[in-house]
Amino acid sequence: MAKQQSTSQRRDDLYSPGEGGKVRIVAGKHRQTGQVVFPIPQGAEEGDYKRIELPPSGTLWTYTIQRIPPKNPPFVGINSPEEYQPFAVGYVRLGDEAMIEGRIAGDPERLEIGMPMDCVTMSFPTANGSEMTTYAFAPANGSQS
Amino acid sequence: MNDVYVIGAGIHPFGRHEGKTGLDLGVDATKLAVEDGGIEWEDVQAAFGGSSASGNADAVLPRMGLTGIQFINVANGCATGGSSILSAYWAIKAGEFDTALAVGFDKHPRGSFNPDPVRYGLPQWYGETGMMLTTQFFAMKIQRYMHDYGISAQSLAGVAAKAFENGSKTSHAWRRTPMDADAVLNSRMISDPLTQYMFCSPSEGGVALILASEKKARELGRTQVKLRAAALKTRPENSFEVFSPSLSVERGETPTMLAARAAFEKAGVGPEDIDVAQIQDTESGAEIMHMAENGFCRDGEQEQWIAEGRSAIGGQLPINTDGGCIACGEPIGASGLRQVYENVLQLRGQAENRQVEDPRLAYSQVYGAPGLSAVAILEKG
Repeated sequence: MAKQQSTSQRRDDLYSPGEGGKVRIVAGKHRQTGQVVFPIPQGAEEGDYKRIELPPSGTLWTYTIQRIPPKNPPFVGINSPEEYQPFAVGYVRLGDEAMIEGRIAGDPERLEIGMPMDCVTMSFPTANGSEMTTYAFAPANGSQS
Repeated sequence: MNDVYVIGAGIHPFGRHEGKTGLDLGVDATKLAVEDGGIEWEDVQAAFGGSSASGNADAVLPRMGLTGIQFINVANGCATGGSSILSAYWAIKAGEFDTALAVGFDKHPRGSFNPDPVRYGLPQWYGETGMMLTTQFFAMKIQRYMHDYGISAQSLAGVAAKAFENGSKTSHAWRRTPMDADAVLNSRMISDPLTQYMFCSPSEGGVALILASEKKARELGRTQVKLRAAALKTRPENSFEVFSPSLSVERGETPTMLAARAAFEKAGVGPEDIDVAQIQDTESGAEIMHMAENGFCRDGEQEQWIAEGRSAIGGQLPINTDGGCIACGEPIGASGLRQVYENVLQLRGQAENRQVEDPRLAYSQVYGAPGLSAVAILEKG
């Protein structure tokens, strides 16, 4: 399978628009075990999973800040030492369904484990001059001073 | 079932070695191990070896001699070395061979690893958005652990300072200059809460071990070190592992807990019986969490252990006496074998000025992506 094709297929079914600028992350619920996984497995396994949308808000379970530029490949963002902008990554617990890993939008310095988070989208500039949009998390309104 | 002995051990020092290939390091280590074992290359009946970045490990054969030996290349992430020794152990224990080689070597480019998402069954966007970094996983795992069990950043720094102290006494270590905890703490932040000197770096090195059956070891008069047990386990459900876009909300056991339990059961001993331990310290936090996952203390007790120097040489249970991955760096194929090499030296009383006082049981545990752990327990013969 071509790399581009798999990338675009995936990105289309990672989240659905929700209310108030939030999104709902799309996961797969195993039809027998009830186990929730993200993203939905593809190929032969896909039929074993029911498509579900996760709650649009949750709490921050853990996080870190990527202080040094990731290597390209696989990272497509700007990673030159002069222009690189550190970003946060974390796991957010969405209800009792699952914890999802994703980038965290906004000021990475103000994060705290347990803080309320919303599921949103974010865009970042890529090294080749275009932009990549992905699901992300952001501290819920009012949770940051 | 046959008892298994480690009769020979060889190492090429870890670090950076301009002008030498990864294979050169593996060949050097193999020659030293064969010589140390008091045998000839022609006497080695089976071999298992791995290299992640330096080609097929069986490329040592033309250099050692094309004896027709059965050689199996092993690839098991950071646990490749642990997997090679496990394979050699099984082969001898099964009675199939009297002698076997476990060899590992590597030479990595500088900087963090940049694995391809597809090789881990992940979509490309996972890497494109900047999440395909093992360093993030380690940072996030210890960040949560610190929150849950009250571990301080000072303890993270203490683990690294101990590693550099031990590394300064180890001829095969890479980083041999002591560095105090404050300097570690104040070094560049890489991935919060982990700073530059809390992490190990990819490096270069080679290790080889010769294992033998009891019959062969007795014949050679080389029964100083017995391999009491070896076990490898992969991740169970609900374990928090590297490169996981999603996790279940319940946290369960880890592959290290399973491997430790299996090895202790096979050996018929418990964590309290261990006199010296080499455990996976990809970064300071990994050593702290692995102290509990291997059963040496309870979650949260590490804070006191480190403050009191209980895991330092001379303490209750010296951990990573050669400086571990933090001081030696991590050549993937060789790393787990280095731990066993260090334990062999400790049990033979050859660890020079880092020698632990009269150890009887020595433990090693290597952890690797995407979530497996291998344990070996050695006993003084």
